[in-house]
Amino acid sequence: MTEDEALIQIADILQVPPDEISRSTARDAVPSWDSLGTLLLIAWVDTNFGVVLTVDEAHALQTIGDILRFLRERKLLD
Amino acid sequence: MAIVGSIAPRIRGIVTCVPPTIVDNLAPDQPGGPEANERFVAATGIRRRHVVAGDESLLDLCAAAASTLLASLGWAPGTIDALVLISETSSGRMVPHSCLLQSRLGLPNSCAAFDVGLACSGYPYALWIASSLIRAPGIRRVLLVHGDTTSRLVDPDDPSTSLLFGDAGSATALEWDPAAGDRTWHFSLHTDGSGAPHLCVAPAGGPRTDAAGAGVERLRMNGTAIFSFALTRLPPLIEETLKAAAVDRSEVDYFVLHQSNQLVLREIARKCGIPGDRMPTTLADFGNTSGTSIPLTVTMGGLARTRKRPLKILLAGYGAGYSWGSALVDLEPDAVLEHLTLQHVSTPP
Repeated sequence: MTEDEALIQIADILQVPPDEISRSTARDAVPSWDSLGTLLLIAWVDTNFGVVLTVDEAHALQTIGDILRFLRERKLLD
Repeated sequence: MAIVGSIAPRIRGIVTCVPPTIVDNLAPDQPGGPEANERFVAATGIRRRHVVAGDESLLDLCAAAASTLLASLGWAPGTIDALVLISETSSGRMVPHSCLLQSRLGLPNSCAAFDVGLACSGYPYALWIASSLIRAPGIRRVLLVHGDTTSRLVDPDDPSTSLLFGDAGSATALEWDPAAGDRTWHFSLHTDGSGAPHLCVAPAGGPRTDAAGAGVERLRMNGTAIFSFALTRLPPLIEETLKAAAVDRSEVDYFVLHQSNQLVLREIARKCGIPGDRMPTTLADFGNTSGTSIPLTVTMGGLARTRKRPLKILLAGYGAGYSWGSALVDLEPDAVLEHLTLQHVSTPP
C-alpha cells in the first residue's frame, strides 16, 4: 500500500472526504477521530499491516501525518 | 503461565437471566447524540441492552437462573455440594453473595460456598475451579453462578461505557462424570496486573488504593488499552489452548468469546482464521454483559446442536486485571440450555 492509498483508507475509516484531510490534519480537527475512531484505526493497522499498536503508540498519533510516519518508519508502506 | 488439563466433569445445564428493561442505544435520550450513536452501534454491534432497574439486583438475576436450572434438572437443593459465585459487581458488604444465594436457594449447610472476584475472564476460571473441585472426594455437584450488573457502575453521561454494558446473571450446573475416563478439559489462564488502571472502578485519576480515596467512583475504561490488550493476548491464548489439547481448530464447533464488542471479535476471528459462523455473538441484543456474556452466548448465540455427539467449545474471557483465560470443554447433547427474563423479584433473606 502506498502512502496516498493509506491516506484514502484513513479518510474512509474516519468517515471524512479524502480531500478534506491532509498529513497536517490534527486529531482535534476530525470529530470522528475520537476513542472509537482510534479503535477503528488500530484495527485497520492490524488488518492491513499485521501490527497491533500499543496504547502509547496509539496515543502518540496526533495528526494524520503521524499515522503515515508510523507506517513508514516500520517499512509497512510501499 | 498456567496451562492445565483437568478430568472433565459434565455440564448438565446452563440457564441465563436478564432483567426486563431494554435500552435502545439509538433512542433519542441516550448520551452521545444520534449520529455518534449510529456510529457506535455500527462499530460495536451493540444495539440493545438489558439493564437492572429499581430494586432488581445481581442476586435476583442469579437466583432466578439458578432456581430455574435446578428445577429443569430435577436436582434437589440438598444435592449441591458447592456453590461458586463469580462477579465483579457483588456488594455484599462483608457477606459473600454466594452465602446469600445459598440461603435463598435453600442449599444445605453442608454446601461449600464462596465468591470469586473476577470480571470478564471469570467463566473459564470458574470452570477450571469447578472441574478441580469435582476431582475431590465428596464433591459431585457444583453450581457456578456468574453475574454482573455493570450498568450500575458506569457514568451515565459517558457514552463510551454507558452504551456498552448490559446486565445478566447465569447458572451452570456441573457434575462428576463417572464415564469421563481420561477425557479432559483444557484451560489456559493468565494474569497481568499492570493493566489494572485501564479497566477499573475508581474515582477520576486512577484506581482507589486506600480508604482515603475520594470522589465519585465509576467504571473507568481506557478503550484503546483494552483493545490493544485483547488483540495481543487473545490469538496466542486460543492457539496455546488448542495446542495443549492437541485439537485442531477445525475440530472446535464454536469459539465463544467474551462479548466485549464487535470490533474485537471480528479482529480475533480474522487473526485466528475462525469463520464467522463458528464465533457466535449476542452483542446486538445484550451488549457487553461482562463475564456472563460467555454463558449468555452459549444459551442465546444460536449454537446448532446435534444429538449424536457433544459440541466442542472453546470459551475465552478477557478483561479487567488484566486477566484472561480459556477453557476447551464439551457440551453434551442432553445439557439443558435455557434463557429467561427476570419476571419476579423475590424478597432477599
